[in-house]
Amino acid sequence: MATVQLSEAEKVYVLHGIRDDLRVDGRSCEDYRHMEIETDVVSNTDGSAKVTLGHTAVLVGIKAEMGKPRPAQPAEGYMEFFVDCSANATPEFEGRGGEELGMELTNTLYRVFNNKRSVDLASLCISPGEHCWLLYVDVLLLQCDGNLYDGISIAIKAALFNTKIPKVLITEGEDGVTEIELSDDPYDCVRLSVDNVPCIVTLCKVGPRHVVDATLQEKACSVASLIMAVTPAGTCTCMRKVGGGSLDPESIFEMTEVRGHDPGAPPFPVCPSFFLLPPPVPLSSSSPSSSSSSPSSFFLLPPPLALPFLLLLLFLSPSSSSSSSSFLLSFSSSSSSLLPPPPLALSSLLFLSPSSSSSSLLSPLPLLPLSFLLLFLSPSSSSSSLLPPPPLPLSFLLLLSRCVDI
Amino acid sequence: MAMAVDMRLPTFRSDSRSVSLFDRKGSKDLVVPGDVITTDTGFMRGHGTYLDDDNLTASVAGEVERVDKLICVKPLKTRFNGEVGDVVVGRITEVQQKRWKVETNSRLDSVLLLSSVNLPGGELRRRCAEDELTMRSYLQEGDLISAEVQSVYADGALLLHTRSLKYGKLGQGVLVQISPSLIKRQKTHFHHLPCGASIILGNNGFVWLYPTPGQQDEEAGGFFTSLEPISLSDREVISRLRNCLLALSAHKVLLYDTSVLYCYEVSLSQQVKDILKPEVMEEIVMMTQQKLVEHEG
Repeated sequence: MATVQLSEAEKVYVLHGIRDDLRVDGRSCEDYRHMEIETDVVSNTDGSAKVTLGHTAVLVGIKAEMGKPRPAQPAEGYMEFFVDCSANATPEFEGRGGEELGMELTNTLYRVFNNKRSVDLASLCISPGEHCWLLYVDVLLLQCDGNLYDGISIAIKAALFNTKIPKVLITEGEDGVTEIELSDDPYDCVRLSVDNVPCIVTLCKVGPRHVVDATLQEKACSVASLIMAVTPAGTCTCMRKVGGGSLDPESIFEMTEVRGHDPGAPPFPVCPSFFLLPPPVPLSSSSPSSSSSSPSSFFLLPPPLALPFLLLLLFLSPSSSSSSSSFLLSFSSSSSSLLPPPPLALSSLLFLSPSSSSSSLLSPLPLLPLSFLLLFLSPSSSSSSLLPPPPLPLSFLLLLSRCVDI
Repeated sequence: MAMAVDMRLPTFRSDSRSVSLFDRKGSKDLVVPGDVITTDTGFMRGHGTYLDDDNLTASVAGEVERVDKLICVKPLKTRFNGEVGDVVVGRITEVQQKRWKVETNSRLDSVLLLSSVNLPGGELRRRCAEDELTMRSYLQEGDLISAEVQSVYADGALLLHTRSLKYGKLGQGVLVQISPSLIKRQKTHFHHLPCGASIILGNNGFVWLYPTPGQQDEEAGGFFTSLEPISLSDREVISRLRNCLLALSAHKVLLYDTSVLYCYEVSLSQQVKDILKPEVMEEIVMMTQQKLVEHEG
């Protein structure tokens, strides 16, 4: 990661400024720098966008190619991500210097888009099991001045919006051979729906508070940041903690309550509708309090998030706010989309609900300001022997251990 | 709490940046790379030029300078070429034997010798071996200093000194990095601005903004930095000055105390964070230039 050096006194100045809600450039803690979005900037791609955010500049090109669908999802196309850290951005990226950051960004992008809700992958299918479109999303970092994640996600969304996929005609030839014909007319194309493409919001913990859109100077003063990918509907598709430090559970809740600017918009993160578990998962049978009887409208697992073996779901409902602001945090630790859905034997399914204290194993947590509903899906015995439990970020373990201790 | 996000398309960006640079300085010979300076073969080829079929051509964008038969182009966008007596603001990058290496935006790191700093205890203090071992306690990596160029080595590296109470380690404040060619050379580069903050306009393009100190503590010899919180009003003034400096430099206006102060006064009608929006920036800089012309003729 591109870094800057700061003296102790400068750090103190930045820290105190954030504490007083006046950052070095005059912004308050929850202001973004001004942003410019340019689409259709690279002519030899199917869709491209360039986003400048302060001095951060990100170029995204999307190339659609025809390929074979993955065996696990025969009726869907898929996306491939690649992040290139150009040495133009900072001399540190020269040679293999940018590889580590590039991998980290790429992996995060895979996780953000690894669900059916962000992009309508079914529309990328041409003929099930035979042909589909695969989208190569190539990200090029041109300049680094902090907040790469947000800039990249916005650039990807803009580039997907700009993407034109040629129309395809499938004709059944004689002797059963299908012929695929690409339309020659450049205007005869399909556009992707980007309504549900998530944007990443990075919240950087600096001292006692958190800021959005941190500059490199502010990043140098912070120990950890929380990355959240949210769709306009309010689904959180990915949540990660980056940086060496740890985050207190309370500060995570505080961070997740950052709201959007539009007063008419629902508070973020919000669940407007129920996401029901896929049918094979026997949720209500094994849980002491079924979701329908819970007082506020809780999120249930969206199907793609049910795939990972170990899911730690925290249902949080802020006690102060109304039922509409309950939200879901999901930490999916292994994102192996290639594997078939595990049996999801919810052998030990624990519910701890604020209303029904019927759970014998866990008692309500009086110390925490937020009421908890902890759902712990343990892997079935067969799947756990195949794969070791993936490592969870330290802070979440802390969160978990704290919950179990009480 | 509301999150303010300002997104726009690039069409909002106007293209008036270059105009302000060229229309006021029509008298100077400004060239861009590829411009033919002269076709006369009697001249000598200097820095920033090359010969293209007997035509002397500029290889950088800048101002043409002629000394007798020698023609050079002094580039506008360049690293800092220090001269003796220049005030610089720099950051310590390395602590070595008897010397610190300082990043000053020049091609090579500058050198600050232990013998050319004022150590705590007054000017006449003798330096001993212990001082050499505790150099890091005076200045460590990442620290910012203000200093003066004492001499220039043959390879262009600068030798700095801080043997005056006005130089030394910098405390709390904000560093703004701009192009060195935008700093106007003046008698003094230290200013206590009437708006409540102080500024060091380093010749190397590093500008240091800090709250105006109450009284100098001479005992510490400039190595003590206060970590007390700075008042919100001072902070706002500093942030506004910072954004004004960036606005002026984006529109290539020369920086000196008056231009910074005028820009500050003009910007008072805007919120601090709005100054960096392109259209606001343009408006403020235009009004500043107007004010400068009115008051200075």
